[in-house]
Amino acid sequence: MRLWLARICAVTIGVVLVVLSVLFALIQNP
Amino acid sequence: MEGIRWPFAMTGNDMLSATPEPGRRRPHILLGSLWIGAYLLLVVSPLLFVWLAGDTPPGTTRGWDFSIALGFCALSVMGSMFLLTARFRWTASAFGIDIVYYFHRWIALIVFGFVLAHPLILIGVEPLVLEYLKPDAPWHMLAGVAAWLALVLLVVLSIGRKLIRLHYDAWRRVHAGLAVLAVGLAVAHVLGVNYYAGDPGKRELWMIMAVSWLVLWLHVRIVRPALMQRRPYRVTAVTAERGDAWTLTVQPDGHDGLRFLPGQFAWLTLGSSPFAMREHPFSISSSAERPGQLGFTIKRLGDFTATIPDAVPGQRVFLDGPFGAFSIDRHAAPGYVFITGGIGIAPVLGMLRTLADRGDRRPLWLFYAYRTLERLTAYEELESLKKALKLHVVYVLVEPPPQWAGESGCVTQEMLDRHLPATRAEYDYFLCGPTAMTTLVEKYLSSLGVPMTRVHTELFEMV
Repeated sequence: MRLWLARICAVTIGVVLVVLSVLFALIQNP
Repeated sequence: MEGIRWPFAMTGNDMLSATPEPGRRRPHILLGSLWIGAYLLLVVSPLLFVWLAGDTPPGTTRGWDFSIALGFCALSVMGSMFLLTARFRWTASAFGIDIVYYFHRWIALIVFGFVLAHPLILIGVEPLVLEYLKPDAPWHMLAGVAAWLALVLLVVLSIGRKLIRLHYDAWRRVHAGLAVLAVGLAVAHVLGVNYYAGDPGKRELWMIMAVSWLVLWLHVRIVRPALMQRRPYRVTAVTAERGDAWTLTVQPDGHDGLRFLPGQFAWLTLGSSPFAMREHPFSISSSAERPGQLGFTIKRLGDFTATIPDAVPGQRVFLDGPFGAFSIDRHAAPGYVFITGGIGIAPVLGMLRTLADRGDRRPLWLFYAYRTLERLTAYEELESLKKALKLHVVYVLVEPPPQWAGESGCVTQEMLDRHLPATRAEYDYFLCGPTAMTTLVEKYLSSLGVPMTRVHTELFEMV
């Protein structure tokens, strides 16, 4: 279970970073 | 780490307090959530820097800025690796350091995707970017290319280390060197490009972050080894065990040693300087009630572990620890169930010996899976511990001898159901063995009604 939690956490952070990168691009280029 | 090395789960808070408090449960979930939030804030900080200090330059194109943002995120995650692998007990206390290292591996792979995508998107948006690959390109672009190559090499070596038979110690040194090189060059790239980090205020924030990574690296590579060198240990005995294993016993040399919780582990350096990066994690298999003599039961599984029988009494040893969240002293319960495979018995031995020294009378179950009876490490001692403790031992042999009346094959749900009492959901479970085994047993226990909060696992494969 801990392994899955670590994976889920890593993937979630990865997704959050991609989303924030998209938001960054949109904010900078409205 | 060559192949399977020994256990591995670390905590932290426990040893921050001078006296561990057996049975005290901590709000690990709350603490873990706080750390995850703090980590997320840390890795998005370069994006925040763009707006936090000074003027914000105008955007270029969406694709271009998306790629830049990915690059910023990738660099901050790469820098955060120095924190993740710094073995700070307070950062690992909520999860166990085995999971922190596991997370390090996963987030590294994810961010590697960012690093790959960063130049590809830029080239897709503006093919002229390819000109920066030429030797006469500006230095900061060459630094970016070099950082990219260093990171690619770092990841390839980490994934393919076993395939190319790169020695673990050599790999660790190359890994550490490439990490510093990649991050240093990437910072130079960001500062040299001088766009989103062009404002003096932004540059200061970037420099603060880069210097903090450097300080972390110096702490891990210089300060901590220096502290270890001031607290050496000496080998007092090397005892052969069943199952191609040895117990290495050490005692502090000129200091009061370390206090640890039963089931914890330490990084051990044998036969070299603590600065040499030749340390390996092993569970402490001796009793926590006898901190003057530390035992490490180690199975021959690779280059380093094969040298354990060559250790001689009086030889210097250095320890970094204790670490680990895998301990009965972190989880109060009316009884404990240990389910182990192979040398996974090592931390369990530490817990059983501690319980015996404490005169503990709580009911205990041990499911101990191994290939043959002859290879059962510490078999004789387990038989004697059955008399000192309320311990029920279930040996599970893959290749049982003729006339074997005990369990054979693998640990199964039906087997657990048969041996465990109806009050099984009240006990805490400690699983230590091959990952495939612990994963299956976790499912079995869940099916048998054991709350997952009562199941604790230990990983022992890092790289």
